[in-house]
Amino acid sequence: MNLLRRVPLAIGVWLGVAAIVFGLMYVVPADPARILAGAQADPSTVAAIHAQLGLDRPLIIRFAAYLGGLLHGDWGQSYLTGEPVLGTVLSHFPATLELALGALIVYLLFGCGLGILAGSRPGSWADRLASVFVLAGKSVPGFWLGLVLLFLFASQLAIFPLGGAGEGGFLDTAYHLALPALTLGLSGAAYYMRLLRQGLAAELGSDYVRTARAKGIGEGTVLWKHALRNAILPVFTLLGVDFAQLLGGAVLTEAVFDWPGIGQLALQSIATLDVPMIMGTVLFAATAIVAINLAVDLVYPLIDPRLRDRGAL
Amino acid sequence: MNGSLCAVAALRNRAPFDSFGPILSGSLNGSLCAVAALRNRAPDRNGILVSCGMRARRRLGGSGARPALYRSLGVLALAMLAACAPARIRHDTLRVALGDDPGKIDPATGYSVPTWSIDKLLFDSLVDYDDAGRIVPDLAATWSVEPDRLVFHLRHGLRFSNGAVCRADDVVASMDRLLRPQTRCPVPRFYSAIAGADAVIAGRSRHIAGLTAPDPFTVEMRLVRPDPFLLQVLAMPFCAVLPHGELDPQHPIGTGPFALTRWIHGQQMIFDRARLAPDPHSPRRVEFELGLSEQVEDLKFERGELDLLGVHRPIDGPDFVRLLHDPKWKSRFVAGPEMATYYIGMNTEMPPFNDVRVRKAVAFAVDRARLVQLLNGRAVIASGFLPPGLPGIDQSLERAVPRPGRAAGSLASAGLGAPAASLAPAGRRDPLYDVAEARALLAQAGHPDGITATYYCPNSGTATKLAMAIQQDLAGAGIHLILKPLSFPTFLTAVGQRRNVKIFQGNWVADYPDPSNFLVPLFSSADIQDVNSRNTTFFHDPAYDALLARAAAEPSAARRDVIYRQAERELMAQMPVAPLFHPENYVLVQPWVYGFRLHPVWPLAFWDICLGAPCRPNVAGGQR
Repeated sequence: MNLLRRVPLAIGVWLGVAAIVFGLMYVVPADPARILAGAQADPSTVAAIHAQLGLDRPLIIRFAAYLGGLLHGDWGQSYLTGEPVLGTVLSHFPATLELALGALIVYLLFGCGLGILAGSRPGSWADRLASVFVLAGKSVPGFWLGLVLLFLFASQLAIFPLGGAGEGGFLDTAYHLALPALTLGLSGAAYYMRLLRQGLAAELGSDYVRTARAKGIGEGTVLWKHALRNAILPVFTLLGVDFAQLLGGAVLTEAVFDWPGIGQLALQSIATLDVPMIMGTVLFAATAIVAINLAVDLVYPLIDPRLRDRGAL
Repeated sequence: MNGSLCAVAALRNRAPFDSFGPILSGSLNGSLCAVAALRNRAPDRNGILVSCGMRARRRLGGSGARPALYRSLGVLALAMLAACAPARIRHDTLRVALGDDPGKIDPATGYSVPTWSIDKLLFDSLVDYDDAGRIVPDLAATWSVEPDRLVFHLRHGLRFSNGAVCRADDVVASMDRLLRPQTRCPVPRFYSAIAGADAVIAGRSRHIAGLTAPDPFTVEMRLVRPDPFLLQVLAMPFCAVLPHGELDPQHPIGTGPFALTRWIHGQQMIFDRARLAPDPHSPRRVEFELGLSEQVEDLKFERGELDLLGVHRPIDGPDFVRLLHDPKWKSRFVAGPEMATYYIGMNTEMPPFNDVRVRKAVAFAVDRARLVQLLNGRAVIASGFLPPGLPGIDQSLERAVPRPGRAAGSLASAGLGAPAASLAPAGRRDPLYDVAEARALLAQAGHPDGITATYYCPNSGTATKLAMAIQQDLAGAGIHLILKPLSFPTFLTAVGQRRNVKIFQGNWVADYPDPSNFLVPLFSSADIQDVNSRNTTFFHDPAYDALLARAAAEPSAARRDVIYRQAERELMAQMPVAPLFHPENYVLVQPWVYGFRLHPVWPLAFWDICLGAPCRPNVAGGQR
């Protein structure tokens, strides 16, 4: 039942996002034709391009045409290049997916690793160290961290490359991905660490854990099989939301490291007021968020039997 | 060489860390030993992943496994091994950062510095600009100019990069394509002197009636009126010749010296020689790095991964200052004037700027020397609207604002001929800066208590920085500005709208090296429109218009320049704009690059560049 309720809701959210972004793009007091023609173009050329782009038609007609196109899988054409928007966004998607996965690995390695370490030994030196990590991770802006990592590890030590995505292939991609993924992942990892630390500490102090210990179950089994399984549920939820957001493009990180993902595409489109491409990148991000949230909702009961029993599916 | 030694060697080879080499190698000793151990044990990534899993089990579950440090060291090891490849300096490849990925290549629509660099590699036009901005042959070996027509005779043996012969028909077809509305050329009116051009621009015809190819090597243009600027605009990249006038924007074909061989969108464009290089040391390949941020571009250059820095956008301010004072780099700068003018524009139709005294007060209240200082000296104080580097301009003539009791225009030569070795902006003064006179003019105009206005400017870092300095200067004279930084598209739309913006910060970069390109579109009455107006000050002066008309009808270039200088004086007397400065280009050149020059039109004058062996010295702009 939930599935039947959530799918139309997700579609509604997606259409709402499309309407809001479309409206916002066209209330901006700037003429895309002016940018497309060039700052020094003559007015008659600007007017001709304005008409060619259909910008002289009423807004509601343009929105209806846009929605009609979306329903047929046509996300429009870039004002700048004339290329199909969906194709262009999808061509940038692999790079964004790589960055998102890289960041998720950092989340899990640093965030969950430290969270487990701190949560299983509350008050220990490891816990205090992890708290410092959380504070630093939440305080340091990602773009600044990126620049520092770039300067230190790419420029001075020459261990990593100076931006770009490389020529392809697993090792080359991993080599190029290391710094951007670290930059994106480290600040996010702090949240995971804190979340898991608190959850785990609470679970380890609960009655069922005490019972398990009293029955003589080993500490490792208590931690991994019982406490962690319950404590990690919010982490999965957050992971889904973050992954969806990352798929929409990490604009600042991609800009600092020249990572050719959707974030870079969005940034370039905004600078040139390429409205269809801006719409495309935003809608793609919305699609990712809606789809992954839906997926997380559906997967949740599989992880937590209590939800399954309550008929979440 | 094993991984650890190789990594140490790579680190120690870095000049800034030479003195820290021992410290670094000491602190990294453990890591590097672990790297070596890791390599001996498990050279592949699967081994590393296995060890990570085992480590987790031991620490938290109590079972035995590998040392804890291995997981992070594994990642470090891979990176260090990759870093072992020394930075290659290939003396057959010119590597330059381009900026954002253009997405497509179309010379008919490309209207930016990066796209012109691409166009110059791939395409040719009938004529070209030389180092002094004069018209010289390109595809056309010779041409004849008559009042009612132009006839071009093409060079024989011209071929496109796909091997096809270039003929006059291709020129005609390319021009037809250029002017069709579907092509979206930004400046089709540049070519409206050709008979039948207007019909094509309006979409009434597909072919320019007055453009014909009587034989495979002759192109004839009939003119509806004499146009002294037609050759200038025919040399622009818009008029690139395409095979049959057709273009695939992802795989363009032209007659240029290079052909596009690889394009990784968002990352790199690679161009290889389409024909024999002029010199054994000329680059055989050009690589444009796409999408680099300013910081990465600087770092890549300093690491030797780029050959030139500052070609397609100015070097970031703090980096420029640092490099300028770095003994390694300070003698490697090549400097030259940019054909551009930055100014404060004032709407002559809106009060209080419809009063020339208020406009002059604004001009006198700005300390241009401070603005130049803000730009780290990379500009020349403007004493008129035409930039000093413009060909045909007599630099000895006074061009500044006429002012009572003060010699004008003494700065025309202040920034000229600045070789790379004498970059310091010291000693430059602003002859117009006079706050007392600005206050007096305001009082005369009926504003003894000053005025307040909203000041529009683009929201880029440099523009905003300049706007804040101007705001402070003008406040000293009683002109209070409320800054309104806008995104560039919004800014353009706002200032192009009639009776909308009173005062704004503008700049104009030459399309082609001629005074007309500065004085006509920005200030002629014909360019006033209610929306998207190019004349953004809405300046209307019949005497000025008459001078422009006289110049346009004058066949002699020398006499035309005299008229334009007169028009500029008329303009400065009315002062719809307060000129601020003319920017200068500063390009940093690697020691193995020779023959680089700053060209008045083309951003990347690659044709004289040699790599690895001296052929010619690096020089500033040719027009100096």
